[in-house]
Amino acid sequence: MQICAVIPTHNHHTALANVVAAVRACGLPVIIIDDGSDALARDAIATLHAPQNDVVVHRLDENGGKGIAVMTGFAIARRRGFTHAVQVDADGQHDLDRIPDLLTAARQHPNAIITGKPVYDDSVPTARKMGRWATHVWVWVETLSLNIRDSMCGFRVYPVAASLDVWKREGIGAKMDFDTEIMVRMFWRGADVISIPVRVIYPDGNISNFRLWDDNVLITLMHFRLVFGMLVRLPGFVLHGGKWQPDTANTGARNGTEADNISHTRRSQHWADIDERGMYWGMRFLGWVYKTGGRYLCLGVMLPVIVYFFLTGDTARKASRKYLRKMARVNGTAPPRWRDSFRHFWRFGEAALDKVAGWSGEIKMDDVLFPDGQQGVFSYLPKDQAIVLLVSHFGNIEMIRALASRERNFRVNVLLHQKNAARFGKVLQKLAPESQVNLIEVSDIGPDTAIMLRQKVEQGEWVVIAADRVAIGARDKTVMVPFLGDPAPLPQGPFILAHLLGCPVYMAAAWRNNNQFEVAWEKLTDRMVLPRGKRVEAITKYASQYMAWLEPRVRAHPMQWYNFFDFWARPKDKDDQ
Amino acid sequence: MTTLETELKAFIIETLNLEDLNIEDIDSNEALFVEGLGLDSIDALELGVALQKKYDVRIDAKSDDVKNHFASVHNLAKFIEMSRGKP
Repeated sequence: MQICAVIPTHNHHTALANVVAAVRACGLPVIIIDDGSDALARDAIATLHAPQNDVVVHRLDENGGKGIAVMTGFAIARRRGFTHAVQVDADGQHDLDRIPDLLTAARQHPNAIITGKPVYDDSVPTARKMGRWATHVWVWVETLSLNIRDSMCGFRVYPVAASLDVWKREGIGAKMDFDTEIMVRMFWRGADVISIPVRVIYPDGNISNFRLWDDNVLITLMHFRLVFGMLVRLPGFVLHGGKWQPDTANTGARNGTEADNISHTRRSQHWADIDERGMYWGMRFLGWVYKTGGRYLCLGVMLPVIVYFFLTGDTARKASRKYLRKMARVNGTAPPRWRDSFRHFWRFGEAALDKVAGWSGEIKMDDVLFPDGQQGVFSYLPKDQAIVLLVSHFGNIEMIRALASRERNFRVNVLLHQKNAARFGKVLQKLAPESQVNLIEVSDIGPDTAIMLRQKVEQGEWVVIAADRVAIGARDKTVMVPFLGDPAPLPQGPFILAHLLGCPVYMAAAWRNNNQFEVAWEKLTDRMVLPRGKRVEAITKYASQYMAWLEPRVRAHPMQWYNFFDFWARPKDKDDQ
Repeated sequence: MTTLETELKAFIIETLNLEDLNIEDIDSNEALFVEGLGLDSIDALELGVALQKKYDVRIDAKSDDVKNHFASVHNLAKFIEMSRGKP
């Protein structure tokens, strides 16, 4: 492995001598590409030419942009027999002390791109941080993975031949869009991306070549190119089981141990595994896009994600088909086609967006249709009236929670029994920290939970629980209740809980109706009584009443049913006595 | 039969609305659940909630002892006395 350094420069010359000296100190030969600098800078750069000391300057008379300069440097490097090149910017922003770490990683992963990942402190302006996150999220969408933790830092080690090959075959932007685009395209071709944390240095008197308008347009166009490129490659991605290249492409790179400080994320990480923090920022970003670009831009950003889920989510797609078939039978409409399933997925994406909007206060009371002249959510309930609210995964129940906690200052406790739901909820909560919603993750309802909720009810708080999902893996018993003509299992837990809490029980739903939201609620009973010996019968009665209330609403808006699993499958009640 | 046991029987009858039963009908060593009194898991939850409120005992659903504590009035009385003994 032969490694050199390539330093492109356009008018940067003050820090250049120090940069060159630091790189030479690491024992690397240096190739400087003067990318059409003005006369003053040109002369200063030319003085650094010292072939006896392994520093060469190559001048391009016309300014072609960073991509052209780097690739010219790589071409020279290849001619001189180098296999890898460290790309260093000329303005001294890069933490050159980390060059040895980059080289170590490159030796262990010869086919990978090794990139510096800037670590920022709190002094970075929010706008700048948001801008970086916007690019991160774009790149995650474009690569359908979270492997690329930073795509903007130019401080990298490239495999020279592979980079030149990508450059030659694919139209890569040559200017400010270069760093991101070449990384995404090499990733598609099977190169690993390995990140090394680096410091960020803002040198004094630094001139920036970034042009606010032109370069932002360039970068936006680049992302359009890359999203398009991702969609074109998507069938292959799905075919290879969630990889851009067949498995054999890059195995050699993965041998060897990992050096310290190297965060090398596994290739298998996808959107589904996105951690809470990443999701939080992703949703903040989505909220920001919603505010600045509106709903349609937001949907545009989400399109590839939904396409991805649709193509890879086999179980969910089948469940959707089964549900839509039953719905068509009951509603007397035409049998569903595959595009109806896609629309079903699409509505799910829209609903997620509505949740974000609801919690960030983007949805106004004017957008909400209340039943029969009501002015607000549960406006007739006294302030301290505790209730149990039975909800479902139909429409957008978040709307009710958001509205209730916003408008009336109700204290609301939401029971969630799925990790992902709890995670999503926590993210929503961060978007609206002032909301008085308490999320409680429960796997099954034991004395602890019951006692805790009883105390909350005594203080006049609400308890919201989904009545349409049987907790996975929990010892939740079920009752069979008709839905769309066939018996479906509903959990007993919510009804038992309502019985224990002894307060009035309401049913509620909210759903999208064109550009507005409709909400509906109704009292199920003042006191849920489950008499000993006839408990299951009583629960079945209440559960049937609930589903009978819900079903016509679902039938009127079939695409807003968000249970993407076989709703009618009988769970294995091995604990049934 | 201790006074606490008698108290507990009255409490169980009241909490679970067992109107057709008297204190004398409940044997301190008789199984409360399934066989004996025929109470079920929902009763257990209800009783647990009420006991916690009245006697301030901490019931940890995860510990295996719960089943044992709730097996009979006698065990329940012992459990409550033990909890009270703790500072």
